[in-house]
Amino acid sequence: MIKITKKSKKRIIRISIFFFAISSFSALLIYAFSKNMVYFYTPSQVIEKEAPLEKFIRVGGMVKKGSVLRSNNNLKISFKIYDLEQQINVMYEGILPDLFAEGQGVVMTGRLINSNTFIADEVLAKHDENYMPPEVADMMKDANGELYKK
Amino acid sequence: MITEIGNFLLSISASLSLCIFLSLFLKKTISNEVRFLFCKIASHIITFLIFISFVLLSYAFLTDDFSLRYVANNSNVSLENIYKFSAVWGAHEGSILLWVFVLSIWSSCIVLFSSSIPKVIVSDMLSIMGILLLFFLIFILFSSNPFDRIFPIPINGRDLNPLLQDPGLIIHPPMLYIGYVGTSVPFVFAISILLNENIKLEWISWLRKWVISSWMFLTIGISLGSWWAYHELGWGGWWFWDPVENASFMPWLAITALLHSLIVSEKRGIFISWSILLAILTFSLSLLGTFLVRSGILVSVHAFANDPERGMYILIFLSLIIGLSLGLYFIKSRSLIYEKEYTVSSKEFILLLNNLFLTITTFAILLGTLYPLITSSLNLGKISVGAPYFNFIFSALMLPIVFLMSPAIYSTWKKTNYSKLTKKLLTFLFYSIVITYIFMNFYFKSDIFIVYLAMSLAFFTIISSVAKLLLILKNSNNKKIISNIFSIPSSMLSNLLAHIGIGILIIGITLSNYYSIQKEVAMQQNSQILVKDITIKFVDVKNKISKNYTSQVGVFDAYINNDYFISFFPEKRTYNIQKNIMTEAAINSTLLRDIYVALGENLSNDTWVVRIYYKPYIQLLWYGVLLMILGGLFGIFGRNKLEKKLNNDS
Repeated sequence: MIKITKKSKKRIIRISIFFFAISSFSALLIYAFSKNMVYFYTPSQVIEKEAPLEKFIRVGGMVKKGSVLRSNNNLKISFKIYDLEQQINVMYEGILPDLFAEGQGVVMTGRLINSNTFIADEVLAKHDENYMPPEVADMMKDANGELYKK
Repeated sequence: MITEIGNFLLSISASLSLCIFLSLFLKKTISNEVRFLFCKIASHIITFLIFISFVLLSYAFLTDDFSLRYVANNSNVSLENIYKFSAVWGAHEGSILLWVFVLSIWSSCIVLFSSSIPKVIVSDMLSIMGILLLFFLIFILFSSNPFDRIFPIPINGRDLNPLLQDPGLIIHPPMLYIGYVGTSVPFVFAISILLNENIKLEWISWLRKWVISSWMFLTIGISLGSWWAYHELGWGGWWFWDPVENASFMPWLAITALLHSLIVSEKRGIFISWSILLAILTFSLSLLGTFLVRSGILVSVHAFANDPERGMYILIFLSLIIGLSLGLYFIKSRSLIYEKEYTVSSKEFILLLNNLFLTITTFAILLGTLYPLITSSLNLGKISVGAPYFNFIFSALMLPIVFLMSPAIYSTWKKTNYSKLTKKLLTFLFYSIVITYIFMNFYFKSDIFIVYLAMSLAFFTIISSVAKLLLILKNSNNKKIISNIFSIPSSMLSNLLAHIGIGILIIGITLSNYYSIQKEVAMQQNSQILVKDITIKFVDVKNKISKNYTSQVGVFDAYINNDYFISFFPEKRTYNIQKNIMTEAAINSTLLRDIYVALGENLSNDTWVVRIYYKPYIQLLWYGVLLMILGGLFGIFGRNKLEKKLNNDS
């Protein structure tokens, strides 16, 4: 029989407490992480039903010229965003960032209610008129890597 | 002329840095005295030369010398002088120059304030500093040179990014950099200790002051950034878990852990090897922060340059530094282990838990910050990790740390008598729950559990710390209260002040987060809106023309019970040159609440979108930070027993 001394018993307890702590932290971490990962989709992916409905996601694209409709007395606004192939409708209620404009790139967080309508919770604010969100810049590049402009 | 002189000064500094570094390999051939003298003088010369080049660049900005590309890109004749000066570090090249300047100042400080440390250790520290300086100087000279010329010379410059034209941002970068770069001191100390395989507990006491200084400057820098975001971004928030914010917060968490583990190392001679590892990790996180912010892989206010070459250079250096120092650590750290036992019922065990929680928090934030970058650079999909992740992880891991603060203050080294302690702590906990209950129930009429938990823990820390302070005052022999206050050991005072600060900070964060009232409405002129007990009336919008921007200024009058008490003038600015639009919020603060008014967009002639926030107790946040900084000051300038002993011996 293996004799367990007092000292090694203490050590075993210490090590098991340590492992218990580490594994519960990792579990907590993985849980929080997997629950809060937000995926990004392009308008084409939305139309092709690659994006899940009623889930918290990010969507981006260029704001279509002439598509912005706003109310005069409340904060409701709707517009269309497009990429190289498709376009979808966006509805939003709230304050837009200073540099939101037609023909500019935007990235939004929110959820899809059907395969072509996105309800935005937040329209991301950026502060430079020359700035293009990298996700949008990527999807607006054509096969040659040149930035496509309408 | 400025170009030539600037490049010349930086090249000389680079060669001197190389010499200081190389002297490390001549350790055996030249005498210690000679090497120390050389490192000492060379370090001061480098600091002086970089200072002159910094002055030159400032001079170029103040005299509108647009023959320098950097000046032409970031300044303008119509820019106010104070912003011309702060534009020196307003973009990539200049901010790296500031980085090196601060690094050289730290190395000069090592020379000046290290009389109690053996010369061989100090020389080695300066040599390691030398290689760090060399790297950043080469980086400046070859890929980020603020002295580069532009041809043809433009008549006027492209102006400073309007976001940076704010008083808060004049000192935010220098403070943050002093803190960031200050983590190099514990790093070079750690490497020097590993190289010499020798450590004395008095040296740790000496090192602790450097760590506190760096911690304090990081605290000031980060909070200034938050303060700026709150006033300037127009969203009423002060922390967004933006990758750039995380980049500065991770070194802060790591250095806070280091601060606590060094206390144990100093007092009990254990955790030394862990402290050394933490020192290396803290500096690595600082470098990682520099890489994230300066490489352009993150898009934000802070990322000036989108030059992959620059990012690559920092990344290679970063991997080299981390790889080499960790390698050294695993080879040599065994020689530093003191075999000493500690029990679960001791102060060192509580501080061990503190370190465990802080390290895990740092790791969790690192994961959330880097994971999206890694997946997107490997083309595994575009993912972002939202603020809810950070909020959840951070509060889940911070609450136990805050809970442990009171036991940590009252427990003793080696073995604590828990029967006496438990009774005392339970009494404090009871009081804090009662106070929380009364306060929340009658004042906010709320029943959110997490708020009760956070508030109770914050009060628990505050009550325990204040009680400890009173206890020390009561026990000291002197009758006069004022001289009693000065007789408190400064390390204890610094500890208690910082922890009371944390308590107050948590109260401010919790209350302002959970009980803010936010109204985003379309308002017509002469209409009014009720927020809490305050009526806010939209009076007018006026046009204003300033030197480098035009703005529309809203006029809002606020009434309490029909009595006028103040007007708000929020602005919407359009800067002339870069055509950026900036929102300047108008804020009225008292200890109890902030009222925050910002203009949104103009819907029609007299209708504007208006954002009005009522934020209770948000001022406590800044007061809490001030107390933490005060605690830091006591920690740096106070003298403790070990140090007195050290000075008496020498």
